[in-house]
Amino acid sequence: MSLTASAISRAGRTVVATGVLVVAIAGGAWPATTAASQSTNELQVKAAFLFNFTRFVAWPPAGRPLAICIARNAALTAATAEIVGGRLVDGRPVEARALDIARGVDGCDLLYLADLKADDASAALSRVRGPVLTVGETPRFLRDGGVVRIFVEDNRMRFQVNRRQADLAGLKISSQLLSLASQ
Amino acid sequence: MECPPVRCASLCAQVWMLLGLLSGVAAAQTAGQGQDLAGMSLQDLMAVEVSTASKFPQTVKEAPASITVITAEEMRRFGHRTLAGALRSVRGFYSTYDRNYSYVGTRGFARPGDYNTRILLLIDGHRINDGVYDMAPLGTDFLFDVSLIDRIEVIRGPGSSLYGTNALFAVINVITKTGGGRRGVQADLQGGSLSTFGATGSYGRVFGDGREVLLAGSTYRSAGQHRIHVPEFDEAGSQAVAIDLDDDEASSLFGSLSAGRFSFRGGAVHRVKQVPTASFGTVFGDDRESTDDDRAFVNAVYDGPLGRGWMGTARLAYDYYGYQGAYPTVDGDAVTLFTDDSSSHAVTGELTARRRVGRFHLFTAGAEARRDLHNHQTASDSTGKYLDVDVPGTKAGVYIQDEIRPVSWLLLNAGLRLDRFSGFGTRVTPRAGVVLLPRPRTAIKLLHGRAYRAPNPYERYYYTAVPERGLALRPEQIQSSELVWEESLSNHVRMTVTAFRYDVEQIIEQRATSNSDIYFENAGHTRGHGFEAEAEARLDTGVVARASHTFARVRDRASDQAVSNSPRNLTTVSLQVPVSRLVIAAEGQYVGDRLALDGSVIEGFFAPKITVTSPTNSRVVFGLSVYNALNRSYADPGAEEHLQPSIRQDGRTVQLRVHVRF
Repeated sequence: MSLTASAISRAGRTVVATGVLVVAIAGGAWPATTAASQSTNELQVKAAFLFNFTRFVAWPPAGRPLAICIARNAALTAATAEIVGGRLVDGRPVEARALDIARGVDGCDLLYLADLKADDASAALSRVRGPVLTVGETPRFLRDGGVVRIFVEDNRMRFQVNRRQADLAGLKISSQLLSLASQ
Repeated sequence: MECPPVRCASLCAQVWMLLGLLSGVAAAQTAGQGQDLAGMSLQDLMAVEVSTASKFPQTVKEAPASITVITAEEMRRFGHRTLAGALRSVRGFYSTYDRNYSYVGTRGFARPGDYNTRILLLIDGHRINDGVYDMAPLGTDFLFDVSLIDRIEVIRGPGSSLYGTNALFAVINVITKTGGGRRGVQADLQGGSLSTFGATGSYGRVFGDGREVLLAGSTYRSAGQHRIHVPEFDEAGSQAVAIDLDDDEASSLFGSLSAGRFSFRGGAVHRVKQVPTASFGTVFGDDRESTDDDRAFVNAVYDGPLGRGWMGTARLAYDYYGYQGAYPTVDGDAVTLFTDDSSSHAVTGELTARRRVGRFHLFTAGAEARRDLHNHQTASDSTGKYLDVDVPGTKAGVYIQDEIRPVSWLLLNAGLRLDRFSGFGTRVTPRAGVVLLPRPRTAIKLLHGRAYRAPNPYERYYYTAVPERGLALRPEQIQSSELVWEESLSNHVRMTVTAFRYDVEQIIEQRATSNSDIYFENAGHTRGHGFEAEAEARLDTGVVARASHTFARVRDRASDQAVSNSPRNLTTVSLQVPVSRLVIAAEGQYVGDRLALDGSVIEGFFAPKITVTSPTNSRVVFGLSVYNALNRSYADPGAEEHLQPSIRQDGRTVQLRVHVRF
């Protein structure tokens, strides 16, 4: 029981056709990427996310810059500072600064806690008072009372919002942000 | 991706169990456009590819296995209706349908009459293959609608070193959406050709303390083909046409609750299919031939620290499977209704623990036991019972796995599982893998493993015409080696090339005597070898193109003959193109010529489908699919129970799917 000659030749054509397709796919996109070798890393996208989050919150008026406080991640602090430099949210300048968790979280509007140990992050969350947008990365973070969780899925940044916690914190988050959040 | 939302811990645990590795798609591609990120909207940012500078050192790329993940988004975009349909998009996989059940083959191996027993199907890590037939339900008999699937992880190669029986060619883990993944009240409605209608409703909620609840129910009905002509049953002067005998109905319930480290899941499905093929020597055209499959399970899972630095997963489960088949058969001058009734009730307990030992070792150990409280098969007609066997039994297994990473570019993985079956003694299944990561974009894997499948109660006891054959059955086993090269050619393009070889020995084959009495026997040795190549490009414009080819040469060793239902060439191509706010996705598979059981050649076919989907960021989302868009006429092979060597498949059909969030 062997396949007929015509079947084999048809099979051969399929192999060739697939080969051509594979090469076409591989070849087609190759130049595009060598040209754009300047790679955007996760850090910069994350920094842009943090800045963007501040634009979707109705912040209570305050006579100081809007502060994005980042715990234990100097690289992200620097990347965020670069992104927010010279920009205004609700007419307020935005600043990014490193947070020394031991010295408290006062004066922070957005708190990025993902690089803390889980227990330290929980402790920090318990100290947060008032409308502070807390951002973390672990599933536990939302369970522990964090407001936003960012994560990477299919090589793209995604986020989830704990709406109840946002309510408890008195944060008014725009429905536009909520609609973009993963369920 | 590092980990999917909220239920990360348990998902990760499942893949840990699969591979002793972390879950995640993570092709670790660094995207790069050098845009002005600060000026970009959140939507645009969400489309930017990022490098997963994972906190966890291991990704799928580093897994000692060749893995493909199908996401919910892909399922939606391509209009996959069943698991079998989705698996068809996976390199090396093809599926067949006999107008009753859907079957999946891989790398040129799909035995007619095999109820997907050589693939292990899991739902969130829980074994689904039933206790009587070992069947993995991959069609409309699956436990819930595809809209509840978060993703499907396909792990190629033998998985018995962790999972025991059935994991010969692949382990398929279906991960369900959680209450957070389907929040609020949502509905999926489908309707289309062949008088098909389906509806799924769900309610999901995340409580403030992180608990998540999901409840879902589905119903599905398709009248199927109105008119099926089966020339094999033609009689002089009259055509054999099955009219309105293709009805398919299913209804299901599913629920999950996760609360911290504990989660609970349960599901049940009831599915009835009319069988128009007059299989098993039944009377052609009799509307009573049907199969009724019921499946149910509940499980409780703990996933978290076990103390002394060990992390672990503990699982307790109950499974039910019930089957009733009605077979109108000629008995003398009259037609009698022959009925099969079988059921199994089983409890399973499992504990897996894992821990880092020293700097280089990641150690996993586990134990699993399954007790079939009942495993009952009967066959009867109006005159009495022909068969009544109940064979409760116990299976138990222990396994260990160590993963050693002495240097960052080398990963060694070795595992061993020991199983004890009532009736078959002890089986040992080893597996070993070497993963080389010479550059960040390259992974080279050399994998070798063994897996086995014990004959199931159906194969052992059901066919009483030749009873000694069934009782003499021994487990079959596979020995498989694979070389995998995965390469990210650029930020947008990745490719995979594999070479594989497998030997299935003591293979349990369906046979028929000259009187058409079916039996099973350990029949020789099948060898398959071949290669696969796949390339995928994801462009900034949103265009995604993928092509794969599998060449498999599968032969019976003794006769050196090609085996049936084994396409030597299998090519799958797909393309997704965004057009304004819609996405048009086309996918097609060329399945090369296959041999039918009678030795005739079933011609190869290419029957692509096209789906147009609307964006997901609105309350109502549409998907319109045209299956077999070119209206090609093609057929899949029949099994020993079929008189017809090949069974014709559907022509062009159309389906609309509407997803509504309330």
